[in-house]
Order: sequence, then C-alpha cells, then structure tokens
Amino acid sequence: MKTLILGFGNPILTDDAIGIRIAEELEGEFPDITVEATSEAGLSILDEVTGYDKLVIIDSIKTGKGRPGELYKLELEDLKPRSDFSSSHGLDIATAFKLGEKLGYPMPSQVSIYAVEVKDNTTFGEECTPELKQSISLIVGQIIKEERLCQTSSPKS
Amino acid sequence: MKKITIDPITRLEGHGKIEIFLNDEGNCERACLQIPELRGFEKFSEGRAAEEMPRITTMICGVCPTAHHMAATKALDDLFKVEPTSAAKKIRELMYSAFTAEDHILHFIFLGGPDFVVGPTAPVAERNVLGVIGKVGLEVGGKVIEMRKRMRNVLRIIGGKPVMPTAGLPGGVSKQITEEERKTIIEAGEYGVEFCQVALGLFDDVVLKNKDYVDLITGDVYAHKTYYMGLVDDNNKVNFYDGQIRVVDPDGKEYAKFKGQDYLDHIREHVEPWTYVRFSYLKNVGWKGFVDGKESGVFRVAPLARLNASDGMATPLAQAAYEKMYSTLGGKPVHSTLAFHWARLVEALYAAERTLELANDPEITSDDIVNLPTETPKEGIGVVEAPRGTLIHHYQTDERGILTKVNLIVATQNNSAAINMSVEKAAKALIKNGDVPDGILNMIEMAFRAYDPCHACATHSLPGRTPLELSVYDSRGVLVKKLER
Repeated sequence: MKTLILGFGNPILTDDAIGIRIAEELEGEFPDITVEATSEAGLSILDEVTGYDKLVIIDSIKTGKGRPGELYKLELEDLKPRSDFSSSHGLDIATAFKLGEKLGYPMPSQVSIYAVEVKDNTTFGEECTPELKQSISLIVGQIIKEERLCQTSSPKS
Repeated sequence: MKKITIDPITRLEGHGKIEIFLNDEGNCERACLQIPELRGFEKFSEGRAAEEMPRITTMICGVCPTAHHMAATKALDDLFKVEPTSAAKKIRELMYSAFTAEDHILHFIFLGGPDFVVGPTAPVAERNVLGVIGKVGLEVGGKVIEMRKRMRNVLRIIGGKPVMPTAGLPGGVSKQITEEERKTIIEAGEYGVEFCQVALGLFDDVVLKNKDYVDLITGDVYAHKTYYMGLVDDNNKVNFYDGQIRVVDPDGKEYAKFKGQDYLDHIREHVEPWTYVRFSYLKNVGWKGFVDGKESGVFRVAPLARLNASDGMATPLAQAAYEKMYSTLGGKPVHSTLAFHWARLVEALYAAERTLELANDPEITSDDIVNLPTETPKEGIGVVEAPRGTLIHHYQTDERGILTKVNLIVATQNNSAAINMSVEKAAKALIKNGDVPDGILNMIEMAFRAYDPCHACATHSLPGRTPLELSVYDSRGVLVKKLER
C-alpha cells in the first residue's frame, strides 16, 4: 500500500510548525513510506496526495481546552465546513478532497488525521513552545502505534 | 487519544468576530470586525541578514508568498542601491504575472464564485466550491486546476518552487530561463489568456445576465466613495510589479502620485483600542473615522482600486475587458465593493497576457541576470501590488546589512478601514427594528470577501479556515443574537 505521511505547518509560527516537526522525526524511519512536510494548504493538498492509497495527515489545532501536546485523531468527515463557506482564501482539507474526487483524481482511500493541541500559533518564532517540544517523541510514538507503522514496514535501524 | 469532531459546538480559538451594536430603535448603530492577529514579525526579523527576507517573508502569508518575496527583493535592490539588469526585471515580472493570474482566477472561481456563480440566496449546502463546479461544469473546474498547475510550473521554473520561491537577489535573479523552459512558459501563458477569457465569458453569462446580481453590484448596500490606490506605469496603466503609487479621489481625479520610497509622506496608520489591526489612511487628508467621502483619508487597494487609480490596462484584451466593465457600470470610478470580483477577472486576463508577452520577449532568456551590489546598505523600501493590494516592505540595517528595523504594510491593512465600513454598512442595511435575519452572516461576509482579505492566513491549524462569529448587542449591551460558522 502506497502510503504518505504529510505534516502541515508554518515553520516560523511557533507551535504551528508541529506537523512539520513530527514529519521530520518520521522521515526516513520507514523505507516504504513517503514522508513530506508542507506549508501549503487547501487546493495544494491535491498536488501532494494524489496517487497514494493511504494518507496520514499531521497538523495542529487550538481548541483551547486540551493540554498542549495532546494528540487527537479525527476523521475526514469531522472537518466538514460548518455551513456554507470555507475561509475566503483556502479550501479546507475535506472540501479539497471532495473536489479531487469530483474531478476524478486518484485520491487516497484511507485517510487518518492527527491534530496536536498547540499553545501558541500566532507568534513568529522558529521553535515550538517547551510544552510541545517535550511532547514530540511521545506524539511520534502514539502515531506509529495507532497507525501500526512498525507492522507494515521495517523501521530504519 | 481523544477522537474529536469539529462541529459548531467545538469552539476553536483564533476566530474572527463581527460585533454589531444596536440603538434603542433596534437598528445598527455600529459594527466592527475583529480578526486574529499574528505577532512579533518585526522582532523575529531584527538581527537577521537582510538577504534572508525574500525567503522568510514568503512564510508570513499562506496565499501571497510570491508577493512578499517580490516586495522583499525590491526592498533589497533599494537597500543595496543596486539596479537589477533589464533581463532580471523582466524575469521577475514574468514570475509575478504568472502568480497573479493564478491567484486571481482561483479566487474568483473557487472562493468568490459561491457568491455569484451559485448565488447569495442559493441553498447553503450548494454555496461552496462544489456548488460552483456543479453550476459551471466539471470541464471548467478541471481547466481552473490545469491553469493553476501550469502557472505554478512557471513559478517552479523561475523561483525554484511554486511557493516560497528563491529567485530574488538584490540586483537580479538567481537563475536564467532556458529556451526549453521558455516554450513551457509560453504554453502556460497561452492557456491562461484563453481561460481568463472563458472566465470573463462566464461572468457575462452568469452574473451580468442576471438582473438581481447586477442590482446587487450596482446597489448602495455595498458601495463606498473612497480614495483608491495602485501602482501604475509611465502611462498610468495598471502594473503589479513596478511603477509609482497613484491615488485618485472619490471623483476619480488624480490626488497624488509618488515613489514607493516616499510612502511615509502619504500613508499613516490609525490605531483603535478594540483591535490590533492598524488602519491605513492618507496622511494629507487625515483620519476622520470610519467614513467615506473626499474629506476622509480612508482609501482602498486591490483589483477595483487599481483599475480606478489607473488610466487602463497595458495589454489589448484586458483593456477591452476594462472598457466593458466601466461602460456597464456607468463610468469611472466605480465604488461598488462587489465590482472587485469583476475587476479581479480583468486583472487576471492582463496578468496572463503579460506572462505571454514577457515569455516571448527575446531578452527573457538572457544570461545577464544580476548586477552585484557594491554599496553599503542602510535603508530600503520595496513596493508591489499583491493580488490583495499595495504591499510595502521597509527595512533598515546596520552597515553589515543586519536588520535593525522592519516595517511591513500589508494589503489587507490598507483596506482594513474600508472593510470595517463595508461590514457596518451591510449590517445597517440588513438589520431593521431589531430584526436580525439568519442570512445576515453571509450577506455581511460578502461585503468583506470581495476584498479577499488576509486574516491570519499564515496559520495552518485545522480546520483550515478562520471560524467566524457574529454577535448582536442591544442598546443596553445585552447579547441578543449569536451566529457562527
């Protein structure tokens, strides 16, 4: 199964970068899995994900209720726009996916979405907050376990 | 691990807020839009080498990376007092034209399209990009994606990658265009010119032939008589990459024309206690509050403003589209905010024509692509027209070129006073005697969506859009209605 792990984030917006940081940790760990990091969103997801069977998305979220570093798992359906409009700039992931399907693109049939609760995603900075930095290895372990990545591929020694 | 669902009950932080305050009669007295603000970019930049700015600033905004890249590159030209070679200027403008054509088309079809192509009163479930595709057909949808792909390939050829380009150097660009690459760019330009005409035809069929839409565009709810600003070339034609900043008054008469380096003599920023956003205004007219008219320094930028501030378009097809727009809407200047959508299509056609024109220029494959800087840096200012309006980068450095001060005036900030006015005007028209219709959120959103504002678009957090909340307070300050999306 052709698998892509895709980390989203802005590398200079403190905790917004968490998806990228986690992707960096996973990169090269599993020879059969492609790991990419991207700062783009919306439609550009179509450029990245077409042609894969399985997609694992890692992004940030700020519910304000969880502990920074807490990992959530979401379904694509959970990201449906609340009502009529998405933001004035970008398409949300769920809509971009539907668009890809409608246009007949080979979209992944299996999609897992992980979101990390973040503390600060509005201050410019190249490093995540200490709370998130400390959580990275734990989050990586959680994702590997949940996705059973060790069982489908041989980890790099 | 928690499994969560993002639904209207899940409150996400960093959402936009519209607050509406009613008077004793239940009519809108005041309305304001508050948006999440990103902090600390100046501090983040200071102490870094100025040459890093064309790469760093691309990360400020998720949708305008090329605009920031180009403004930063031009600021470096000015900082190091080096004039780019003629070929380098053309290569930069070529890249910038491809970026603008793609960005404008995408906005119109996918993001502004739900308002017009599907219609503001269409069922909620259809008012999205999928509804647009349903209306215009899969073929047109596929062509938008194809145009985007081809224009992004132009950015990849020139800038190294489609986003966060690395082409700009003080005095030039980093890479020459090969003859083979030129052919690909010409094909992209041809595709763009053709598709932009299709899009204008679509606007004709779907919008202009529908009286309700035309009434909406020309009606008073979405109109403001403001000053307009945009870069123009030597012939006062719209230019995205270079030229002088021209300002026309609400009657369309030239009010000022100045070099980007003199922006501080003309533009000032007003601060309000209720928001971090700074409101640009014309210094020599003065800040008179959130009001329009000749006495108020509020000005607008972005597609319609650029067309109003110019004497036309420098390419033939775009000029014809420009003339048609103004003759249909009753001459210049046009004050209707919703006409920004139409102006965006005129500009997309110009950008595509200019891409093709520059790709066919014999000098575009020249190897004379950079002049090396020799002067000691001190201060530099770069101005471009971002798709969303005039964008200014201003840097100061020590003699080693290490940044000591950074000031960016972004397009949305230039429009921010007008955006608030548009929100308030729509609220005043739609709320009568305490009756707040449920469709109001969309009608108000339409007022500011036309500007295509950047609202904390550098963040990528899920769900990938800025949640918006509208609160209505009565004259005693009691919350009487709350809507959100």
